[in-house]
Amino acid sequence: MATLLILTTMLPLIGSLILGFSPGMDARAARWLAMATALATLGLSLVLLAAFNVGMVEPQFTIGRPGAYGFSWIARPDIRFALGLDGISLWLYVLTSLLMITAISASWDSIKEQIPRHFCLLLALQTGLLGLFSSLDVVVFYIFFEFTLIPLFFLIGFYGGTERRRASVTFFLYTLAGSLLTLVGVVALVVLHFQHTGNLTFSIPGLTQGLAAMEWSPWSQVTPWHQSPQVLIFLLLFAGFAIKVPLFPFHTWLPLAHVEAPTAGSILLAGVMLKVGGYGFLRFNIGMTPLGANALAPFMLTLSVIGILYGALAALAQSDMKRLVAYSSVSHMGFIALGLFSLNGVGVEGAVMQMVNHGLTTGALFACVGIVYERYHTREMGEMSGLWIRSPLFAFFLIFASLGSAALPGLNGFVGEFPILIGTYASNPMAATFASVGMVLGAYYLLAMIQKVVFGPLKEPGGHTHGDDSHGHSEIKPITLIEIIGLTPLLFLILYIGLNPSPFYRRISPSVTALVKRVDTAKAGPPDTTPQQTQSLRISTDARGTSRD
Amino acid sequence: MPVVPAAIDVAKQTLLILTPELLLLAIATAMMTAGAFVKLPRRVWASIATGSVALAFVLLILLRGESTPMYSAVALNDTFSLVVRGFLLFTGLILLGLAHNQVDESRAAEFFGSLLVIQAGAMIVASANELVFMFVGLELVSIPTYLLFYLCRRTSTTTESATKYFFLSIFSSGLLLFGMAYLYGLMGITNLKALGFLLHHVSTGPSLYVGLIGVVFVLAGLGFRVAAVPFHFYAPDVYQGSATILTSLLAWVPKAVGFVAMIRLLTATLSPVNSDNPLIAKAILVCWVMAAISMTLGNLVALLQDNLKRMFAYSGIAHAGYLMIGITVAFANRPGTGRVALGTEAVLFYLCAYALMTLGALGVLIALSTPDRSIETIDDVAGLGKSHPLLSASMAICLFSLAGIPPLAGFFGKLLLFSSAFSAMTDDEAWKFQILVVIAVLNSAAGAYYYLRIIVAMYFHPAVTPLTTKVAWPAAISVGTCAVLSLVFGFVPGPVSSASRASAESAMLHPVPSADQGADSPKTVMLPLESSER
Repeated sequence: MATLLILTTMLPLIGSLILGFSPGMDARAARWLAMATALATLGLSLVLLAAFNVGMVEPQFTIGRPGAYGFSWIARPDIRFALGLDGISLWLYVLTSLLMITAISASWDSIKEQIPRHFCLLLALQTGLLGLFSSLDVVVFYIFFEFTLIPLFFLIGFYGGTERRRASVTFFLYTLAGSLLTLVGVVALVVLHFQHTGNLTFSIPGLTQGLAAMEWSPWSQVTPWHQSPQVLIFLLLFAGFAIKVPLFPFHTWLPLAHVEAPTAGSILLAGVMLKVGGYGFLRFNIGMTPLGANALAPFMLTLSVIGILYGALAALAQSDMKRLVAYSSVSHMGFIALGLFSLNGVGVEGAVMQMVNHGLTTGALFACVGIVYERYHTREMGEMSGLWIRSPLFAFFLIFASLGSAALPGLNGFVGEFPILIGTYASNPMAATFASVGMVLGAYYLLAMIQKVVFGPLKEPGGHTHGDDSHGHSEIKPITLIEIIGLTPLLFLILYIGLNPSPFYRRISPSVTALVKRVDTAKAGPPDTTPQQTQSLRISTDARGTSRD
Repeated sequence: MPVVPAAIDVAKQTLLILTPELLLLAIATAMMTAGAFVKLPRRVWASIATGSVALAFVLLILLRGESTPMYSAVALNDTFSLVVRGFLLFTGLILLGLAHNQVDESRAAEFFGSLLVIQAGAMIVASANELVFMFVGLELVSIPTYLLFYLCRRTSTTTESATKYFFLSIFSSGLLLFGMAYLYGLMGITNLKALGFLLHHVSTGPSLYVGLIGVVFVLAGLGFRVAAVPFHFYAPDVYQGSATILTSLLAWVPKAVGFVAMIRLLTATLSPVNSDNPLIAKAILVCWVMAAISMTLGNLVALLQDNLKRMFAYSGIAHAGYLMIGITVAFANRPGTGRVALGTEAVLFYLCAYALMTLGALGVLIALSTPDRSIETIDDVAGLGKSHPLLSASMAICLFSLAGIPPLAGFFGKLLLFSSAFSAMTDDEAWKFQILVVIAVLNSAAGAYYYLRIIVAMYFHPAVTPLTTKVAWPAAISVGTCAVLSLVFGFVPGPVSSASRASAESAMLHPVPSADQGADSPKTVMLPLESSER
């Protein structure tokens, strides 16, 4: 199984390399090769999902024993290429494989030139994402994390809209700046852990446990927040992940990148890339600096609530469908951050569930927007209405995805956002109250979009002339089979998770419970460290320093 | 009483380990002399030069087992010397590949001869264990460089940059000599290993003011060569004004030589001194400031440049700043703490990555230039992605590596530098290094912008004036090697990192001479000091 995980992660890269080295490949062949690779990856991911051992806290599908997962990559320092999945990463891993199908189907007909290169970049991006969710070593995680920037940069830059150059550069630099600070935080964690335990490890589970058990009084004491090293490192780690999520003041790159990105890029960007931020918060900020997370939780909740309301209000003001969905992501990702920093089991589980849900709904919404844009070359809601009459199937897809996103009970958004609100209410009632206003606004802007686009008399953009118009609107393509194939699994899951979320929660729960328990232990103060123990530690560090004499 | 090795044996052994350098110098002399009488096509001279560099490489490998007594020889053949010289020869081959058609037929003999002398000088610096010999090596790099300025295209701008470089270089050599005199004054010996050993074993430690003058002036003299602030100001004009092949030579060789000399002269020599010694504390402060200002100024000013060579000049200043972090850490490292050579190791790894990515990126500009059209500005590379897909892919790899994006060699260089700075100290002083890392990180984020601009121009902009240059194969091989190795060392950094660790540790070695290791006993140490310790 461990080999299977490595194979699944690397499979898209192999497809990507084949496509990358044959730029002259026939368009049909390139599409099918990409689709075949993505389908194979999805199939293998589902095998992993089936083989996943429910109830286990430790990462699964690993090579080697706990403490030294994977195989040695760089001998000294001991950086290991270690992959594994636990309940948190499992669903994001499978989600990435699934959304890839949607992304490929969305770019099936809409990408018309340099087709092999497009799919090469998409598949490379997929390996980056799969790798970062499954890596168990901080350096490997960081490499995959940064690597995702390169294919997405080229995807936006080559295939994006009119402002694509500015969008790609902004996106790249903004995320790079944040993630470099995250790198400093990660290095600081590794070095601190080494200095205080004498054990140099880069393993994510190893660091999480080692840091929790570290006997260094400033680390494990609940001090005023500005004195705690945990808070400083929390902030360094926060920089990169907050930009990825994006939390409120760091969201400015997102609308630009989303609007300019090609549909496939938007689907993966919103569906998976943003979750990297949430995933990082959970693994690093909450997992490794629990006291920092606890100390700054009110601040984080405030930012999340501002993000929820601001994103929702901004979405309400948009006339461009894609911008609307982009801002709705800011709002929904605020919910996820809210759940994470409620720091209790219910909220965090809801947040992990909601990461998957948001990936599904927002992926479906972006695919729908792509369908419209592909046919009318505009996304302005003012220029269209009554598309129900033109294509009932499309209207069904759009309404379904919107309702899922708006957290209609019975669909998936509800089973994610409801626990988040409950969890938040337990830790901070005020934040929960404001956030629920965001939920109402969320329903409002999505329904408003449906009303404008789907209902009313049929009005199609076409007052101005463009390429396809000479044929008249009767020539507008109906929904193609490949688009249906891309959307159907998402819609099915939106309904399925809404009706039966327990298989999902069963797998998420053990890992989240272990994580939250660690926060609670940290909050309760350091375990009884007898003076003698600290004494001996002091001596041993001194001995190292003066051994020369 | 330890046995002193006979001076003649030491000299013989030293000449033996210096055979690669001697070979290069002999061939260079022969070429330059013959060039006046024999008329050979350019490619013959280039082949002779390439062949002799390759031969020197073979000799270096054959002589890897030889060693010289550490405390009496002027040159060492330790791991540091072997690894650095080997890598310098390798980059020499890359430079020759880029340079093969960059000079007029009539001046080819002198041009390639000068390149060989520079090569030999750089290698002498890596092996030197003696103040004077080190200086000889440094001058062997500088003097042929002046010559090269006049051998490449001659216009009023190249003359201006040549003059500028000449005067400042002479001035910096003066500063360096002044500093070296004070290093000599610390103990009254010129042997660097012996100097380091003695500094460690003198109970009072080195004299603060004599030592500080030495350190500051040596840093000033070498700071000019590596183009670190405040000795950087010649770099943009000179880089922009000279032929691109000279730009890439200046961007790599003096920088490598400068940092290698810094390690040999300063950090390795002073490393046995306690890091709480006031001299070390001051040296750390000086390097800290140089590092912080170099990278910030380099990166910020590079953001404003449209001329690629000028941009690379500022980028070179910024990278000198990153490398200075390693030197700062190396000052703080000392034997016996378990962190002997972290800083030096990081500097060596980063130098390797830097050579590949800078030579690769500048090599693309050289490969695309023709005598009537030189690639100078960012608009000149627009649309390169369409016209030269492989070349622009190489350029993109080198630029991403310069920006420090994983999984490329430049990323691991930065990772090693940052982690070495984080573990440099454990006590209350640690925050200084942590702040330096944060400054470096913010700088790399800002720096990514101008590298990205080139990539955007290459791939996302249509060509302004389409490039139809056909790339010559030696240049293509050079550029390809740089790009491929930047990628490979990103995936497999292990060999480079273990080689740089081994060489860093060997540079820090100051074993206690004992009677039964006669070959290693220093003759200058015999008199009063040996009894003062142990």
